[in-house]
Amino acid sequence: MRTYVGVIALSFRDYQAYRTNMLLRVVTGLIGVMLQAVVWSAIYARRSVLGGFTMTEAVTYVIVSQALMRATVVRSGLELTKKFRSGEITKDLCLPVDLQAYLGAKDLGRSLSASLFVSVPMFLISWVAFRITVPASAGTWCVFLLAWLLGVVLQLLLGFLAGVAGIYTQYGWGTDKLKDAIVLFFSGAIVPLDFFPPGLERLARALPFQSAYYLPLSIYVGKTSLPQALPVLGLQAFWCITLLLLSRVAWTIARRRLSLFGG
Amino acid sequence: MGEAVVVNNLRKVYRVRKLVGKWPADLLSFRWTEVPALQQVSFSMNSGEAVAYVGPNGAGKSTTIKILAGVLRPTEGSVRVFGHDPFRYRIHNSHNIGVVFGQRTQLWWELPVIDSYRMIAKIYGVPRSDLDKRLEMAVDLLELEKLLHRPARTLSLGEKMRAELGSVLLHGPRLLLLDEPTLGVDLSGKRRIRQFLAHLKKIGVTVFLATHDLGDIESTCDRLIMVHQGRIVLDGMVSELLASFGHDIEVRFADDRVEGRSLSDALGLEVSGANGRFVIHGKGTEPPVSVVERLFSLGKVVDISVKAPDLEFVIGSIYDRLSGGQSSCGHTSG
Ligand SMILES: Nc1ncnc2c1ncn2[C@@H]1O[C@H](COP(=O)(O)OP(=O)(O)OP(=O)(O)O)[C@@H](O)[C@H]1O
Ligand SMILES: [Mg+2]
Repeated sequence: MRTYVGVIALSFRDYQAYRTNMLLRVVTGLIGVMLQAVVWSAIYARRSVLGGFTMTEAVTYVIVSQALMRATVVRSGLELTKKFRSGEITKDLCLPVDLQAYLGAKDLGRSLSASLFVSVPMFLISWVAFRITVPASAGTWCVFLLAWLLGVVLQLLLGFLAGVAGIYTQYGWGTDKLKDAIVLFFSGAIVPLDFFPPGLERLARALPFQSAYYLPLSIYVGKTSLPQALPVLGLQAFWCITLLLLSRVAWTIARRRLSLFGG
Repeated sequence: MGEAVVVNNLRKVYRVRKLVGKWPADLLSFRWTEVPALQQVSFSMNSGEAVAYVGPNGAGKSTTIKILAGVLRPTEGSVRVFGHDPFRYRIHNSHNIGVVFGQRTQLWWELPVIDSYRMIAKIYGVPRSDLDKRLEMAVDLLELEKLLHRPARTLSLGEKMRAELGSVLLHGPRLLLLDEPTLGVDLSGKRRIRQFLAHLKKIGVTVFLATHDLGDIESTCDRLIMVHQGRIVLDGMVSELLASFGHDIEVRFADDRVEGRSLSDALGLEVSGANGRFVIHGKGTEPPVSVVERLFSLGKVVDISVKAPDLEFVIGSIYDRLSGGQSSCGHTSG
């Protein structure tokens, strides 16, 4: 455990080496925020409530979502496929670490770095510029952050699974992008699930991806009240555990495959 | 003491995907072929032993090392490293071993070497005091002080190799698995690396060294295992192997009419050369002094020199014999 905490810390520091990059991310992030603000103002031009969201709620949802999207850096999947192809994985397997936990810890460090230095500035600027709402109670903040963290873990697990799938398709970039597209769509990162057509909404709610954005964000904007939040956290935890088990099985099979085809 | 490594009837085949037909049919129909890399390999190593692992390209050396490191699972047979199955207990095993692959580096490309070392120490959970001690030892033996603060990417091939070797002792491994650690290293670099290995051996580390550089063996290893086409063809002490090959004796007779054939008959040894200048190829069974004495009795000798067999000659002639005997039976190398 100490090992992985150390890896998180190192990767947290390492990610800050790219300072200009961080600044650029804040700028491009804000452009995305602006775009969302313009689009949603237009959508709400002739009505006051849509899908149960007021304009302020919807704009807050999508802008905070933009900030959260910049906060999760998932590279482990792509890294895994690349290491597999280049044979670098041989060296990593000589380290006394579980590769999934190791790659995950690296991503967690990066994500913490990005949260602090990209998302927080984005959030603060948007708060001033677009007057988004902020949860009033400390309790809501805590539950939101917890839900968000579970969402990050879920994305790490999905990233790793995509990486393992990339080993099989021999086209890691493709599987990773496919995963990104699915997550972007079904997680409610761009549009709250409430706005989906009923059939699609039901599907999205049955899938694990809503954990990444929709569930934490509905806590943030108050669509999920505190008492309702407990089963939501439970659902997120359920998906995390399921995907964890799945990824362990997938990884065991992938190691056999590596063994068969050589390092 | 105890046994560091026990390998029993180890067999390893790789699977290779073969494309059949032309596009687009090849997208659907694969065929698998199996490449045997190791067959019936058995050997064991005691703690503290230093063993050289040699063999021609494609013999199976790297495969063996990857299996001992727990990266690859044997197709058949059993492998124990300090009593454990390295594939099954990979993480446990990795605390005990230090692995160097000549062509790969564990160092972070962008980070100064010292930062990589700290990172590695953190991953292995090495206490601060141990780290300082081992770091000092590595810096001393491999002369790393000038390299420590440079990013790995700026190091030359040989420098990188030295830095890499330094990284491998930070967690205090009991067994070193080295795959061509002097690849691309210059003479003085090799000397440092050999010094380093000799020191580790002295403090009781078991060394398993796969190499094509026979100098590495002479300076470090007592025992030699030779693998050829996935089978072990030789396993013994280096000194005994050398002794089993005779000395070469170069001789010049005053009389240049002395004939090679009669010389050969008289000595009962193989002889090459002509016109009074010959090389007598001794056998390991007769000491060279006695051959020299017999030569003196055969004519007036004006010049004579005795050459002890070196490892290069010995291993070279074994390789020749191996490839002459039964060459390439469906064997690929690379
Ligand atoms: N990933 C792989 N897929 C298929 N065959 C492989 C693979 N890796 C090695 N081989 C084959 O297995 C055999 C043993 O290879 P190995 O790399 O262990 O040899 P080696 O003794 O290390 O050779 P060298 O001295 O060239 O490094 C060779 O025939 C090689 O072609
Ligand atoms: Mg090799």
